[in-house]
Amino acid sequence: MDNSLTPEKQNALIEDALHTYPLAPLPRDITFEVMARITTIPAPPTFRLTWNDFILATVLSICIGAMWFSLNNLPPLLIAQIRKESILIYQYVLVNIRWLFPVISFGLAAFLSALTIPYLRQEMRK
Amino acid sequence: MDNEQAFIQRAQKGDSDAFAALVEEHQRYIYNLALRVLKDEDEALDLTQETFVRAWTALPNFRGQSQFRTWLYRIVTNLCYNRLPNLRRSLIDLGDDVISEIPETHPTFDNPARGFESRELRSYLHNAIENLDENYRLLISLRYQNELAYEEIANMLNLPLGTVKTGLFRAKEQLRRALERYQEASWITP
Repeated sequence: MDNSLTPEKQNALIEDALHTYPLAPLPRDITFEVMARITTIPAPPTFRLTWNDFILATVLSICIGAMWFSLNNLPPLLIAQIRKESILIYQYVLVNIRWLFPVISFGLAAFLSALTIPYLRQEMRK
Repeated sequence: MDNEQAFIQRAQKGDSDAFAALVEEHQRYIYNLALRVLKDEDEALDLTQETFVRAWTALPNFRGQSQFRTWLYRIVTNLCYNRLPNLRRSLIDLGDDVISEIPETHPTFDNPARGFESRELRSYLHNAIENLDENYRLLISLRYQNELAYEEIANMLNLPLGTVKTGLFRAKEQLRRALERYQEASWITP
């Protein structure tokens, strides 16, 4: 045994050991066991309603119902006042803060573009 | 496996025979990875079964972004994380402070492990690999037994590339120290 191994020879020996590190032999074929377990798994339903869906649907229904009820039961004078105020607000926006629309649009576009960055980075790493 | 893609597509449509063929093809590799990490035959077999059961339920979500086997490795690694809660932490803790490019020599040009003594030395080093920490065993198994690229390992384990390289570098350093101990011992006992 050569007791003075150079770093290069050490490297080569280690690489050799790593490349020849054998796969462990499988004690037995597990295909049958896996397939037996799979047959006990119920097939996932193609369409399923979750509790989240129910809660969301209930909240939305209540909101729409409340709005409909309010609109049908508000005094006509109040409805006219609300309409007048909304027109005034709309006119104010058109006259004074027109720049807000492009700013919001571009801001939203920039934000949505930024959301794609992690995905694009992941794709580039492939 | 010829036409693996066709088997995957059939299995995705619920064809259990096609899935059985996939299990038969890949079970050895999945078992090997589980065994190298867990070091327990029964647990590794159990984990291999669990991997394929989970693969079956998640198969409709498999979009083919990675190879099927790499996808299975990801499942088995996640299951290993569940069994060994410190494994994930120990991988992250490796950091990425080692040189970015690790020179890798290939032993094919002049096989250093020749003759009886060298076979013994190779066997000693294989034993040393088995005695490394589980995070190093996982990286070595993925890199050398399953021949995944550094980038694939990093992507699969969701670790920075530098961490994977650091881990493999440190594993080799530990093997180098084991080799030195072997040399010293053989020097003392000729």
